[in-house]
Amino acid sequence: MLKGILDGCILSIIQEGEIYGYELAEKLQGYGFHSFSEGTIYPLLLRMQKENLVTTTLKKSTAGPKRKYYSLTTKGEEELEQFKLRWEEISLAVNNVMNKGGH
Amino acid sequence: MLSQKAEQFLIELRMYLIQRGKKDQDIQEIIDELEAHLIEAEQNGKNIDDIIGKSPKQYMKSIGESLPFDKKQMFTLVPMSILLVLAILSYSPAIYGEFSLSKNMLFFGSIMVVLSFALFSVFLFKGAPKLVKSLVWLIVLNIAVSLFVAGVWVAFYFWLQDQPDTLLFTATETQNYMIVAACVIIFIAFSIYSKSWIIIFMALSFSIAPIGNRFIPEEINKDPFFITIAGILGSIITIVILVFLFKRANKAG
Repeated sequence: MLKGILDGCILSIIQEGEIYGYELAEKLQGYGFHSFSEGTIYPLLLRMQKENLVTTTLKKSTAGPKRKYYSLTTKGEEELEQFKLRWEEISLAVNNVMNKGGH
Repeated sequence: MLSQKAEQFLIELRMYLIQRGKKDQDIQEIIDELEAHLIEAEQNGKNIDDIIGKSPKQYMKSIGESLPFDKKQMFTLVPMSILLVLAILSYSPAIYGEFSLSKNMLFFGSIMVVLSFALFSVFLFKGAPKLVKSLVWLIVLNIAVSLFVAGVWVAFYFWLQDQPDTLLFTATETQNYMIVAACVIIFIAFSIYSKSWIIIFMALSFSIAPIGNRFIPEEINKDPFFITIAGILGSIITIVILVFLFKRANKAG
């Protein structure tokens, strides 16, 4: 379940604007994902590319090697919308269980 | 710049992905991306463990599972390699004008080819990536593996001579020339395909002894002085070629 959640968060961050791998990992950590190793995003990004959720462009950087920037496709946008719905449902349910406030 | 540990990881990852038949372009892309990430991370004082996690093996697996298997490459590479091995084995006897096939050669020979293949792939994919940073040990291991395989082949030939055997085919002189021509075509094709000169060098080094044997007069051929000179010249040429290849490999890397 957690894996799918990371997918959703990655899609959501990419939606804010073109971003490359390292920056994406930093942002995730900034949002509070501390316990995952940064490299985890790459297998996920590879799969998203395969499923046509994201596209990539290579750009020169001021220092160091070229960077691969990711942006969402229409299909990626749709996937993100679906994730948001699923997430609302899950978080509501989990909150209810934790607070026992449902009934 | 990258730490040694990070560089080592990238090399191991590349060999892992090649071994699993992933597309060259996919491999290059993910390696470039990870390299860029590792460089930036290490500049910011992060450790490679923060990036790939505690188990590099597990991480390589997760990358491998996310990349498609390249069928087209496999379907060209495997037959190409088999052809190449057959060409290497047939080349010398054909130049000597003694190409023949026997039952034992076909049966035990193919077992030997498979075994040598297996041993070299273990060396290439399991041993070499771990030693890539210590060139001396890499060369020592390479020579050890090659000598071992060559030794087993020599032992195999001696053993084969004492076995009852049926000759299936002996090539005529014209057929020998045709086999040599076919081998040369395969060597050239493989060199173009792999974009490397190494096969051409290997074929040339195979050719020197048999061609010399055929065309140099008997007296010179048996003279110990000329044999010594030839041996020294041969070693010098081999060393020059090796140095040249290593320099090129370093530049490419």
